[in-house]
Amino acid sequence: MIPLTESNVKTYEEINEKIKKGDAVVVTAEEMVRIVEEQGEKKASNEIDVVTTGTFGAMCSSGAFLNFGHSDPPIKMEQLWLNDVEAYHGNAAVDCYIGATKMSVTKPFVYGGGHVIEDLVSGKEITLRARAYGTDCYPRTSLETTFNIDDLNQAILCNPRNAYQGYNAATNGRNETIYTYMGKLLANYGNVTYSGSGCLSPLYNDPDYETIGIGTRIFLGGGVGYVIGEGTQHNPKNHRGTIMVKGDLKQMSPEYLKGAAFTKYGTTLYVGVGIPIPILNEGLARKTAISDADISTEVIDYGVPRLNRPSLRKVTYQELKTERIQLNGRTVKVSSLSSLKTARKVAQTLKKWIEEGRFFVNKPAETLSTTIGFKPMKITKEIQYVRSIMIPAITTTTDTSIHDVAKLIVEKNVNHIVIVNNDDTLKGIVTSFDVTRAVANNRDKLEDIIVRRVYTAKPDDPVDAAAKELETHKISALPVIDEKRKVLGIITSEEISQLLAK
Amino acid sequence: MKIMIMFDPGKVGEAITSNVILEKKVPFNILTAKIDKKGGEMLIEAPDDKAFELIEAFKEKGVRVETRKFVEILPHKCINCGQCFSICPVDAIKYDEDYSITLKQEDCIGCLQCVDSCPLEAIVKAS
Repeated sequence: MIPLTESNVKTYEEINEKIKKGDAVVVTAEEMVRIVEEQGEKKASNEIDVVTTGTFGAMCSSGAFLNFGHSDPPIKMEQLWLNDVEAYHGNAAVDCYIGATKMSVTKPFVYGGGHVIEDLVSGKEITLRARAYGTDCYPRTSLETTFNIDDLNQAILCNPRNAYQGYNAATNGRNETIYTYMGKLLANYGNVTYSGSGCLSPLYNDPDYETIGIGTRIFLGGGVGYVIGEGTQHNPKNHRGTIMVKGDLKQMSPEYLKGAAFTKYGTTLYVGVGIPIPILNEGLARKTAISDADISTEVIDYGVPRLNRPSLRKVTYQELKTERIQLNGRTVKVSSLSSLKTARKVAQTLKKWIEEGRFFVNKPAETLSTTIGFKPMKITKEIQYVRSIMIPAITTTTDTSIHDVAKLIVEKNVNHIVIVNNDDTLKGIVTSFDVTRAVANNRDKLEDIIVRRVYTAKPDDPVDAAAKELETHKISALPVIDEKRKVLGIITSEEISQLLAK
Repeated sequence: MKIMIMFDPGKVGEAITSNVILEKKVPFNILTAKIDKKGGEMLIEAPDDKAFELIEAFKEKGVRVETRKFVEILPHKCINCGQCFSICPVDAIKYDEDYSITLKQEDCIGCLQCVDSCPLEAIVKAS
């Protein structure tokens, strides 16, 4: 059952007949916005045959199946590396899957599976190293060789999740820069990044998946590919549909498959995907006329180290594309992470292929689900949160003398004194070492020695995140504060060590 | 125009910057400065028509002067995503009308924040 569709005024066969004759009217999803605005849905649905979409973004759930053929003597590979990036081997002797985010053993965070795929498509030589345990039928136990894409029997790009219908925009509320899969996010909501091509987004142009499903022929990585079903995490009810795709890597182009490395996050692959939407009825004319103003997303605080991160505001793609948005009363610069320029080129290229009679539309064997849900991971063993291991902080105000702070450190047997304002909000911190140094240098004002740039934790942060913070900044304690910066306690490396010892 | 003034350890005690301003009566903006007893660098923004005069004045006082670019965007690597755009504190990086990314060298202050923001390693420190 397909809901929300209207009776067709055209068939796939009629559209393909026009494509064959060179008569098909093809426009990009960007052009369609204006056409429907000017001509109306009815006229547009009669006149326009196909609307092309496009996106070119970092798609971590990407990879390729490769088959090398057999060596002499033959080997059943147990572990293998392509340019020092480990590929998955759990199939027959010389099959493997190279995943985009797997990083090089020798150049981690710089080179990974995505780069191997780009190098393959570019025709470059790749080094294959493999080892095996050796069997009666596969006696060989190690192998080192080089190959290029032409030496392979199959090189099939097969991506479990591509072309997310829409995605969050990201910002960072912490007081330090963070590095994420949404790119570099500056401290204190200093910038915003977003992904997705807005009105060119493939799935947003057919949001009820009337024409998209198993077998839909698409533009993939500069070649022809196919949708092979719903992608992982397909979440149609929240406008977060995804597709699983495959295509022959040998036909693709490095212009639309780019290995990438996000600093301190890891490697991935930029993939160009374009889906043609046949305008079978008036409803599809209306849907493909979706504009950037019609598509909205949330600006999420990636500074919060939890699954449910708070949203700061709703924003449309129209606003995002103006390059600056208002956030917490400030104007903040906005970056696209996917390339809008290349997304346009994908849609234009697909349009050209259809106009030249080189690419035909087809009815899917089965359309994507419109009802399936997406749920978080089932967790049977809870991790520890800061709340459960924090201890009361020993606090004081800046009118205390350094001598009294020293006494407090001795009396309470602690190394950190948290300095608060009169309303118990965080002002700074001093360590026993700071006090010792102050005494050695004959300084007597607490105001002069407190550290004001304090790294903090929230009670609902995982202990792992707090431990990473301590390690990154080479410090030994984090005051725990609430939303209003009121001091709730402190977590020190001592509590974390005790937790590990358990 | 942006000019980098480089002070050797022996020069940091002298009031070179103040004297250049007083002598030439040309005000300029100090964009970044990192100078201690081991020497250091100061990036200034000078009015284009007075830049040459200032460069000569600094040189006369025995400090090294350079006009240079700090970073380069490698066109064969850049995919025009624009992650660097929101990182740049001075709007030296811009989106063109067709969403190409461009870097205006004369606006760059060499903070290098964009370098590690680029997922394609397309922004490199200029040698």
